[in-house]
Amino acid sequence: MSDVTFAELVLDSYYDELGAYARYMRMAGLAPTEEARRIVTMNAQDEFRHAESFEDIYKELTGAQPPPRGMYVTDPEESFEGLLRLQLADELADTAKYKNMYLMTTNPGYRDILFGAAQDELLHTMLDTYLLM
Amino acid sequence: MTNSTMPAMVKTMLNELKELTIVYGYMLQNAPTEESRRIVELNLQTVRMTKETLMDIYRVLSGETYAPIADPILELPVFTTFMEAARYAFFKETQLIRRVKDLYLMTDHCYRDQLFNIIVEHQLNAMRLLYLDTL
Repeated sequence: MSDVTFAELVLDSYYDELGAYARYMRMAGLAPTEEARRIVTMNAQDEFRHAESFEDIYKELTGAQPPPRGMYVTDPEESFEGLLRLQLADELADTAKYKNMYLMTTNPGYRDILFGAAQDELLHTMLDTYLLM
Repeated sequence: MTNSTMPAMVKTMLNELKELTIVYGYMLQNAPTEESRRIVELNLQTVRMTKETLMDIYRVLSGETYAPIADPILELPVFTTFMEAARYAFFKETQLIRRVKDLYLMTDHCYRDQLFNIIVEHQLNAMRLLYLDTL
């Protein structure tokens, strides 16, 4: 896997993490209970931290800031549960994606970031599943 | 690398495992079905194995033997139902997974396999607790 392709995946992940952060913050405003609000806010903080890490990797790989994403489509979902179901699917996909990216690189620093992100996303799937029960 | 905060982190985790042991003990005594009792027993086994591993790591990192805190039961909520305890255990498990992941990322390679094993085993514990909620 070339560094260009890896950098593209990092950029894609950076956008995804910012999108997940925005969705979780929207969910925090719609949360039906204090417990749910606390969980989605904690998850939002993780996603923002991941976005910062991916931004750093992208800058290191390319020497450039991540370009603006362009047109951003907001979720059509209006309910907390609907957003939670969308996010749960994304968390599962991100866990697999970061595991694959971990296996693509030999850079120990990048591997640690991807390991941590994959573990966080898996934990989010559990917490999101709990909120659906 | 051996960070000076690592023994304190391990000690915090060992104290949390003590809490989980008490919660799972309550759940074993109050399990509504044989299946749920077996699931709790599996989780308790994981907690015991993790405790042994972390005690070994703590001994190497600090040069001391871990001494448990005096009375962690005072900090535990009183459970009125099995599922209330299961939900508490779920959050304790997720908290522990976060801490072990942080420790994994701080350590050198000599502890990483053991810590990775702990992370996966406690992910399974958390998933089993979610499953209990479906019974």
